Amino acid sequence: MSWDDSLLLWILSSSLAPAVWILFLKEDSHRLRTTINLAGALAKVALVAVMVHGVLNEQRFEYRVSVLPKLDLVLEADAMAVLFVSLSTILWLVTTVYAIGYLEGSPHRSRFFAFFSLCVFSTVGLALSGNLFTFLVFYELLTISTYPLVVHRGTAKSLRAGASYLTFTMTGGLLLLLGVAWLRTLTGSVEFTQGGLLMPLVEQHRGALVAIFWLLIAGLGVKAALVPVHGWLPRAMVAPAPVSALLHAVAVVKAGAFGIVRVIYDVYGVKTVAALGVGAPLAILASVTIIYGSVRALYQDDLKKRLAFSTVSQVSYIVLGAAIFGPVAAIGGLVHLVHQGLMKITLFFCAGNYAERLHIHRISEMDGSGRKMPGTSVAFTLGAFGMIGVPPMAGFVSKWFIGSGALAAGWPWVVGVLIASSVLNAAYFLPILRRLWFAPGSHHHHGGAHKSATEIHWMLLAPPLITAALALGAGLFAGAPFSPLAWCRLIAAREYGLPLIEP
Amino acid sequence: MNLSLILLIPATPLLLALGSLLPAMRQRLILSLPFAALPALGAALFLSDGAVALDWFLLGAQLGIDSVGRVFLLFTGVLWLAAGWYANDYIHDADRRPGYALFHLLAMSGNLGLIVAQDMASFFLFFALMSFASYGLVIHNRDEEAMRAGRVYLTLVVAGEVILFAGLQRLAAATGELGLPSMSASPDLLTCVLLFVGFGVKAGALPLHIWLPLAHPAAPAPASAVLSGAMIKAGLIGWLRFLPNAHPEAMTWGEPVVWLGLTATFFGALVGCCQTNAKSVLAYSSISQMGLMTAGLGVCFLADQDRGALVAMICLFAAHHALAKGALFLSVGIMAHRPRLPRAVYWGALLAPALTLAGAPFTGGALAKGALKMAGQSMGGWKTLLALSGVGTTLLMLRFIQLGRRMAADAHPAPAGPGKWLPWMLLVLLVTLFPVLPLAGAVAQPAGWWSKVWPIMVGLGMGAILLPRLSSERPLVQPGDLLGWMLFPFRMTRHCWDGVGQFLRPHWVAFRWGRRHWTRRASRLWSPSPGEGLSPRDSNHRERLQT
Repeated sequence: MSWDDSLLLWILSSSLAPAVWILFLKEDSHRLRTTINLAGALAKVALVAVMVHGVLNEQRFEYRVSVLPKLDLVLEADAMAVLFVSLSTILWLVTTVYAIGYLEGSPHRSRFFAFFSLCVFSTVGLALSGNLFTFLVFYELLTISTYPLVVHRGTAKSLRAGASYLTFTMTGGLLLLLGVAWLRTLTGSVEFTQGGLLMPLVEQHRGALVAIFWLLIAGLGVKAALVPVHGWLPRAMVAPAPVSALLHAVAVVKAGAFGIVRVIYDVYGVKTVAALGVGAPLAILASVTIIYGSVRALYQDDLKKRLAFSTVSQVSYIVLGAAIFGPVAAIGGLVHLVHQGLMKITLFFCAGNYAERLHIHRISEMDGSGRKMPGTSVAFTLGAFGMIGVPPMAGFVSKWFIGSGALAAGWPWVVGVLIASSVLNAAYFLPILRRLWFAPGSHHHHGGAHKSATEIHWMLLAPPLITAALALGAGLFAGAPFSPLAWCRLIAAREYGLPLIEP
Repeated sequence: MNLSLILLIPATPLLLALGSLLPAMRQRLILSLPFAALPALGAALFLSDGAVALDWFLLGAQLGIDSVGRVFLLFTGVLWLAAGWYANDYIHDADRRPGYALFHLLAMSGNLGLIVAQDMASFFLFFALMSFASYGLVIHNRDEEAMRAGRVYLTLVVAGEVILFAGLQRLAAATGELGLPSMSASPDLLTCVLLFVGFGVKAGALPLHIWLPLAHPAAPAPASAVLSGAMIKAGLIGWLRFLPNAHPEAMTWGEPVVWLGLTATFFGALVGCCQTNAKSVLAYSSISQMGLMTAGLGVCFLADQDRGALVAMICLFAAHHALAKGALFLSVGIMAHRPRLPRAVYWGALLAPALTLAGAPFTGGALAKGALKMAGQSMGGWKTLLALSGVGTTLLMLRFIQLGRRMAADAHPAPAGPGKWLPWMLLVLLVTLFPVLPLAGAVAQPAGWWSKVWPIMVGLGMGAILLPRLSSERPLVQPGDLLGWMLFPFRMTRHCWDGVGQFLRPHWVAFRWGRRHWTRRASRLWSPSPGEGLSPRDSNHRERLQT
């Protein structure tokens, strides 16, 4: 097996090996565990860089192993996989640093970091899947490996949240399994193919294809937190901050959204989706989710809960972008996969920092925190403006492309949804910023917060600053050749078989 | 000269703003304010027309200077320079100086950047930067009044931003590119209305002006000067750049826009006279003057040729108003002190901007208004209406001086330092010399002095009769006039619903909407909330700042 062929396996094992190793480490071998974690994360960054370089030059990376006759586990790196893998890899590195800083001194760290790595292993596997079957395997693995993270604290509340999480996602997995199985009996193949593979069947099996589409969407929509199956997500925010950050930015929610994107582009194909007429209902479902999530967020006083409902809303941008027929909207949806990840992980890191340093969990307690924690608050401010969609933050770029794509497709109402969402985002983020920066602060602290030279340990401060800078850079330099936007243009051009696309 | 120097115009204040990250720089940052505007002035004076393409920036940006941009850069730069200089003396509370400097620099970067932006995305970026950063200027005093003004301001900023977003997006879809639209582009009516409204919030067009009489007076004097002189014009340049005035259907919109503008002109004068705060009077005067510019824009739509010349005249008027209004707002801080200059000079300098704004003969105001009169000469009644607007402005200026004199009665005994009166004098001089500045060279001083004198005479006469009868304690119309009425639908919905709830209560207890319901929240958003902001202990903070 040549180096090129095994690259994908190396990428996967760079998180699987640490996971297994750490599981058997003693609780107090702090230094070794940190070394393994960081070494794994850094190795993955290097390996992914090699893969990105290859894919850019149209090199093919594929790994295939037969499980049963005519049922293969396939790993394949196409442009879309690379987008998601790069995002997970970079954010995993940052989150690992954050998690090491955050969980310092708390119990069950070995268990935590083992499953943390396993969770990333599943996410990357899911991103690299070359067919629906492989996707399904990693999708279920992700469900299982995330559960111990959600219930990490072991309190009654987190156990309840975990139970709800399992109920929702297991049901979702079951629906997905049904859909995949049914599709396989129809087609005999569930490989991801650029442009889709179902066009020839539209005439003959129209009804079945529509039914399978909604089965798949329902199965994936549970993780993507589409209304009405979003209920687990706001409850799961009882998990420790790094878990919430990863959960909302890359791992679980994004896995669902990424799955929907895959189904639309590489299983059905955009033309088939348009021919079946399922794009419009999906766009409406996504729009309802966008508005509903934002409205619910408006009424939350718990910071993490407000952020969770905001995720419900923002992740649906990806689905919305994918549901609109046309390359421009596709770019908007895909690039939001990255942009939302960067912005939301920043916000969750910050929420973790406020809780850790000032013991603040509720928005009504945040008065004057900006002066006490300027670095964290700058990062939070950038993230919040990004969510509203104010330029030059990354969120603006996504919104612009989704809106332009919708207008090109003749759906001007989508711009209305974007506007409503921006207004709602402003309505629930700007008051937080006002409290942070302009409200006179309370002078008493709860707990042991005291004045010191630095606002918080660098391992907790650096991650939000880095991700905020990335979210700013992704917007400010969106036109540059190596921005997420440029990469998504490449993907959309390949999916639609076009030369490179202008906004 | 190298055109990429244009980048320095928005970048200089932005890079200086980054200085507030360094604790050592923070207290000294405010010293840099006047210098941050220098690249803009230099570029306006020495760079030739042209643009640089920055493909890597945002969605592919283009920054450049053209004839409209040059005029805007000049007056905007001068105003920010004077305000920055003035702020050094005016904002002397050590706690507040770093914050003020930061927001001043950010808003300046946005304001200058949007003038040189030659594409939609970067224009939108700088527009947003300016709008959000000025929130920090509006609530600078942190008292109840400022916090409420800030809330109202921010609501309308967000509304304006999203409407503008939709408008620009539709415009881009119609023209198929992100550059400035050609003036004969033909987007549909909805697009044009969205653009008009989106920029109208900033320009204080009726009925979107409600934030302006609250926000401009709440800010400290140097910030009011730039808000009312320079930033308000961002709406105007938006209109000039993005509304295609040679649109095939522009003729049909021209007339409503003219009438909207003229209504604002007289409405502003009328309500402004009923104010009891000198700065509110000036804010209403801005609404009134922006009304004239709006009407000028409408005239542009109506014209069938030579629109470039009309646009140049509107720019001239904008430049004149910016300098005069800047000088007037700065004089509010001057009047809080005992006069230092000889009495005649002092009052001359106070009255000069007022007179020129009213369009007295041989002033820049007469010149600017003459330009506007020429622009719309084909319309019946136009000249008379413009002359009548002079009556309104005279009344407003009289009211301003009346209130200013009351302020002067209990002025601070120490005279204003040179840090205040030098920048003020700079603006006063520029306003006075406006007719001979090269900026105005293209337009000849209109002949006939009677048409300029009678509005002022009438205004003086009316003022002599009316103003002494107006209360100086309680405003006849609250600042923000229509604001209360805008909340009416929310209040009505809530009352009706609560009424139904009362009726049904025995059967359905949960029917009544709670305190957290959105209708209640919405109506609270714009109402004053006692106890917010600084405690009563600090309520004289404002006075402390002004002296």
